[in-house]
Amino acid sequence: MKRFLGRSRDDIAFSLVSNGFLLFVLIVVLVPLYYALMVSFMPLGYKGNPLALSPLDWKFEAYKQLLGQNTFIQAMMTSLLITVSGVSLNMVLTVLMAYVLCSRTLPGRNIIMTLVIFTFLFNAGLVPNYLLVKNLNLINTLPAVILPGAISVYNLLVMRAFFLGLPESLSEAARIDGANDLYILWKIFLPLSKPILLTIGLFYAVGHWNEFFLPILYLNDRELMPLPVLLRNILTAANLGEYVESNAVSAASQESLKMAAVFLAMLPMLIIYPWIQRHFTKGVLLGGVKE
Amino acid sequence: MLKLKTHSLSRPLSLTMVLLTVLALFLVACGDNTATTTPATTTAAATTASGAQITTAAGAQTTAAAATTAAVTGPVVDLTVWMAPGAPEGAAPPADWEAYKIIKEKLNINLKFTMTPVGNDGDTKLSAAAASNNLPDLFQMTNRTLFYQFADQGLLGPTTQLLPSMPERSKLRYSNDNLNKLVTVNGAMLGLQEPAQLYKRNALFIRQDWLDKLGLKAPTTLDEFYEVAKAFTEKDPDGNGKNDTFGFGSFINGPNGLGINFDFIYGAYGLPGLWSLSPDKFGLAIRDPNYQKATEYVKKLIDAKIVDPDWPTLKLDDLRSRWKQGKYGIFVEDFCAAMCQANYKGFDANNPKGNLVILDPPKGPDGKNATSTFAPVGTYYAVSKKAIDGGKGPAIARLLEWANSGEGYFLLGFGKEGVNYKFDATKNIDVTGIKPELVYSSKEQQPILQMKTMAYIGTDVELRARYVLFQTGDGRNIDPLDYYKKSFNEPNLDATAVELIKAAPNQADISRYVSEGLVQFVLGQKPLNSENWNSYVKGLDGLGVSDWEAAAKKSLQGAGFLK
Repeated sequence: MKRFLGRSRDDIAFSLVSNGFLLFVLIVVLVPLYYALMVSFMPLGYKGNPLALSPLDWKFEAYKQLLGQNTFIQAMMTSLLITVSGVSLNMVLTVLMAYVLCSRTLPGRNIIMTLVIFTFLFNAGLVPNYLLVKNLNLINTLPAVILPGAISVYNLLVMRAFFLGLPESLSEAARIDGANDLYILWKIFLPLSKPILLTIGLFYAVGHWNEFFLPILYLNDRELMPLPVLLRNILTAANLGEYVESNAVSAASQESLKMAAVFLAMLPMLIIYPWIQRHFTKGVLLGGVKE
Repeated sequence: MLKLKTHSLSRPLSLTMVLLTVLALFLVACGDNTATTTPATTTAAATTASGAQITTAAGAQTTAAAATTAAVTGPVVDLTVWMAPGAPEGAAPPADWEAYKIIKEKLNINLKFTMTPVGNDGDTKLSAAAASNNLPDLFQMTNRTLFYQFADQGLLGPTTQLLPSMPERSKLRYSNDNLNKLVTVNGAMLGLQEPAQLYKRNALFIRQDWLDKLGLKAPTTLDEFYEVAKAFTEKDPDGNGKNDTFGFGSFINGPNGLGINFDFIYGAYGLPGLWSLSPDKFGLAIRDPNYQKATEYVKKLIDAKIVDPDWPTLKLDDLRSRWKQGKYGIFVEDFCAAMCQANYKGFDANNPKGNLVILDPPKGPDGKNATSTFAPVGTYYAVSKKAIDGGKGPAIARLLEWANSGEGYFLLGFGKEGVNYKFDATKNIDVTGIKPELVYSSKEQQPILQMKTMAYIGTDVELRARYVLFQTGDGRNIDPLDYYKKSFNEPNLDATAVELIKAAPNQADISRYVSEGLVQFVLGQKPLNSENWNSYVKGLDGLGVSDWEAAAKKSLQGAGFLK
């Protein structure tokens, strides 16, 4: 086989095709993002193509307006609160339950697993859930948004599979040395499970950050509404008010405001993803395979 | 080989699990107290108009004089009210809102106001609340199917008994029998139907400056319309030496047929809108032979290339940007979208000498004309049966009556006198001398106007406040209200009854069939001859349209709209 720079022609062709494809995917993902960003920077009355907007013409009025607005900051803080407290609760419960379900001595383990998987396959539906939340007196409180999804069965199964993949001898040795379950979990399982913890944590965090439906359903006070709800309101309000009635003059266009809101809402996740990415692949793969 | 771990659960672990869970729950439970409201601090001015449109018979008058509400005695009534907010993107009224205080002190009501999400999400929220018998006491509705569903489930309380307790409001808003039919189920009135205030907002606009330049008169018939539109397309009315104008600009506006922007052509044949509402010919308008003639006229315009050829794919924003650029001689537009200052300025900048006037819809062969259809139907409220049974009816009536005029009306609609607005010598709303961030229509004051829909009814004061006079770049005065009055007086067909027609189970299929068929005809993709037309109309039956028409007829007859 002919070789070029130590690589076979097939290798080069494969690498060209795969890199070309990845480049294509990158463009497909990046262009809308770049477009949104440029629209958010557009000066009022700009008529050209937003993609061709020169950095010299960038205006930050839309961001100033949004960040100067109490509602936006408040919604962001609420989202943050839901995400932080939600992820904390998720992780505690998921880790504990995954650990427990690894235990062979747990009485009724199979029944518990069946029940857990049953909820994964069959959903009670909107009304029973609403009734449950109502009867727990959680309507119009943040726990109504956080508690119903306290444990995701999918994440639980992934984490349990990961735990099952850890060498059994480690926990046995610890137990012989007198360690109890909490000690084993804390000192042995968790330090070895960083990839899966970060991965599952990210799954949960993204879910909470984007939480839209449950707040709409269970929360009444506008002060409790998280960012996705406000974002949706900004977008629909701009669509409903197709024309400006009052004479108020804004320094930013509706489109810029919308896109700035979209961008600000996705920014935190945009920052977190690359940081966790290296653990992410490892975590998902490791959870799925075991000897 | 699959190997399972062999842990045995010890007591400390169980205990720790419980403690950690409690800790996490505690952390979460503390959450709802941390999000507090503080005064808005934006410096930028307002940009959006309210999402909720206000409505009534134009020129209707409410008492502007401050009505003194006699203080009510007895225990304070807790009242939950769910309404679509005046500005969905804005914050809720603050806890120390003046209106809350007054409502409590004078009306003896502890008001708990919830801003419902816009659109389907709002319906979902209401449905979930209804399913658990947890509907609020008073709530605004937008989905009539849901309204009838709640009525069938016995969740709505009768509203007739509230009317005597709110005489002024009932007289002004709930005394139209036709409108009341919309909220009457099996003879019982189960809702409060507000009249629309600003209906017939859409009008045909024509460039008077182009007419003058070409020495033409405003068209009065479809034939003249064709000639004028042709001249606008071909005779360079803007004088820039380029062939860049079109006589008529349009797009498919709405799900029915070719959309409401083409309605004036069907109106010239007596058939604007989707339905033919005459008792002898009730059914889809498309079944009328004149519908084919009107479609042939549309095709004639399109074949002559005097309609912007992009019309099948244009969106509203595109249409707006094109007439503002000065590309169209005639177009259909909302009066405020065309003539309110913020919207007009784009047109003014591109066409300093541009002069937009409203065109009477051209007459057809039988002398008929109509810009479109209208329904003077505003928002509507329902009261839960639970609230009526719980004796909250009088409190609900008190609140609504208070919001109808005087103190409540101005507080909900314009904020606090002297702070957010003042009256000028003619008793109109005036904001001169008030700090921009305190003006009632500013973004900063959105929270205190979130319940304005309950107040607004279209008084002259209100309309004057919303639609202010302004000057064009070359110093001409423009009063958007003049345009509204003109638009209001244009012929339009009353289609109130259509509000009662429930969507067909396969509505999307029917709408698609009708629209796509018409587009194919007018674009020449399918020859527009009697044979094709008849088979097209016959195709409706394959979609079960006859059943839908029969059901619609029955419900209109039941409500008394059709004999």
